[in-house]
Amino acid sequence: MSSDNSGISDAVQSNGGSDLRRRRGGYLSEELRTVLRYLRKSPMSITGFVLVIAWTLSSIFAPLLAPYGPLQQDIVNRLQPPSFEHLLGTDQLGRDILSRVIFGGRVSLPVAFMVVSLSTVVGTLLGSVAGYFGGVVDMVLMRFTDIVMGFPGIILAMAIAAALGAGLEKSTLAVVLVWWPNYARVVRGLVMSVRENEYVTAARAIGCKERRILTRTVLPNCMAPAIVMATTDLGNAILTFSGLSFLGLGAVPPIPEWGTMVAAGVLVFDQWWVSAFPGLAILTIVVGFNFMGDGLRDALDPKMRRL
Amino acid sequence: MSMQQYLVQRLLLMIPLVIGITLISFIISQSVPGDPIGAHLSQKAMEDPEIVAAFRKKWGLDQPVWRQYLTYLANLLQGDLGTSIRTHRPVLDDLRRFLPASIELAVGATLFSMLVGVPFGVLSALNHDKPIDHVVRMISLLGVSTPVFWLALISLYIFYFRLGWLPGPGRLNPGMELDVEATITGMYTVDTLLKGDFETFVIAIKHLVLPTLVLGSAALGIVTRITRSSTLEVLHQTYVRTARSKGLAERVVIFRHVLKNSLIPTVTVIGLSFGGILAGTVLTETIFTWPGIGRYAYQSSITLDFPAIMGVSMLIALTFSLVNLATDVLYAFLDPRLRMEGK
Repeated sequence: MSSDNSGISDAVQSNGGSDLRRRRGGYLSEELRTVLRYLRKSPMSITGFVLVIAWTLSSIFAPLLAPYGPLQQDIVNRLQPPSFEHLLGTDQLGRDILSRVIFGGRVSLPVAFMVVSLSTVVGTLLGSVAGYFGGVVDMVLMRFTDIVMGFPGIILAMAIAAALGAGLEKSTLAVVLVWWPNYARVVRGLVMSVRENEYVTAARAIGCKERRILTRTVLPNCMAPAIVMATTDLGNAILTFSGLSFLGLGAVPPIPEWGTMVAAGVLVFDQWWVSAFPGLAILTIVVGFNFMGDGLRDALDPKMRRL
Repeated sequence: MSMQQYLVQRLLLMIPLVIGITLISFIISQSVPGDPIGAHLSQKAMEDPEIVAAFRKKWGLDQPVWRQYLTYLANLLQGDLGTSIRTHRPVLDDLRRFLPASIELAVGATLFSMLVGVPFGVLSALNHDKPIDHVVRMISLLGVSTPVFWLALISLYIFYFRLGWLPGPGRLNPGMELDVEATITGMYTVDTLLKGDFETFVIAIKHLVLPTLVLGSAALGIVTRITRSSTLEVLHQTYVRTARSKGLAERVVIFRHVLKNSLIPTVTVIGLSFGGILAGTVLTETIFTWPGIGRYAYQSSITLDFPAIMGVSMLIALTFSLVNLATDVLYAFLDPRLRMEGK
């Protein structure tokens, strides 16, 4: 989206409002400054941002941070409890759990990002068309959305993943296929409320084409709430995907995926460290996204701010 | 619109739901790469074209897809959900067999999340922006952020393996499974009480504790959050200010003016948290080897047993719709404004 409002979304996402402040004045940057001031005062959202940034950095610099290779086996030292050589212990093949946990971020974060961005694209496409045009188009698209939504999500994802066969790309696709209806619903609702605004009538009055009104006027004004939803959803996507992997329907060994690593610990139940630490990794990154999203939600909702 | 019309309309909406679920399942079953029957026949049997042809004929796989689908729908109308390819039993029998175990679990988890979540939410709202509020919000966010499968494993490790306070996986101690056919409701807690078998009742309850808490923990966060926000909203209503300004004791304001109004919307939370619980049953039941429909759904999925997948999906989706319908009706009944409109 190259329209003039896309700066808001970037800024909200990266918490870096300063360049927007420089670029443009007016109501929107005023609003953004209030949001940032609010976020800075909330220790929970700061914790969230710190966790997310820490995990992102450790995934990017995984080869530098990890003391061992994620696939490096050492059968003699298998199932060692945490020690100075292996801070989080070793698994059933003698692989260093700390290194695998660090490299695990390189799987989960991109997958979560793919799931949410692909769902956003599909959801926005269907939702905005349905909400803007209304009538028969709306009815057909939304009934279809309802049907997919009515299918119990986890079972649909399991069935699709099982049908497509295991593997990172296929299971990501499986999650996307059950994920997009939420976005279609939300975007449709947003578009329908934005559509009634006077500036949309104004755009029509000066003779803009429907497609241009939708992409340039209506959609940019729906972005902020959609971004809050996407932030929290990154965490949910990680939970769902690691759940699928835990069941053997997601990432395949030896890929260092957190859910698969927890599953490996089931077989060596008394060696608690094998599953405990990968699970903590999931917990901390999801907490990060949730704290961040929660802070953003409060900050963007003027009603909550007043309270 | 009268209540009857509303009910009929909501119930009619379940028909497209059933059609949608079956249709999607059929589409997925068609997208399986390779031959789906490979999952059910041995390598040797697959090499014999006669066995393969017989297998196809037996399960109607030699028919065109649309005809398979129409046959399925026609059977469905007569209450026939088909036969599970994996268990070789009618899907309906399977569901009947596994449902009670899940009901015990889901009811327990819902109760837990409501009994803890509602007071948490109220407490949080009444102390808005004070330390208590932050702690409660953090706990509820932690609840929704914890991977269910991990929580299940860790709690099993601590309370069963290390401390030995609670029993391990399964519904009863090893070797003492009740005869499923001979049970009355299939819910062990109810059955043992009906039979007056207190010893087994206690064992069944002990086995329920861990999976219930694990399953309820995610829903707990949702319940707390919604109770909190609905209480906050009421706290800022003008009638609360009026009550305060006319000098009522704070206790009276809270109980008679705030809670009476703010707790009504939490009824709808039952439906919401129930949805979260249904999603969690798959993982929880798989880890606790709990013979419920969640585990059945998992086993059916990995074996691509589509009759079973469709059956269990419809059961869950319809249960979810019915629970939501029930909470909506209950909500309308509890809210005097909506009750008046209905008349």
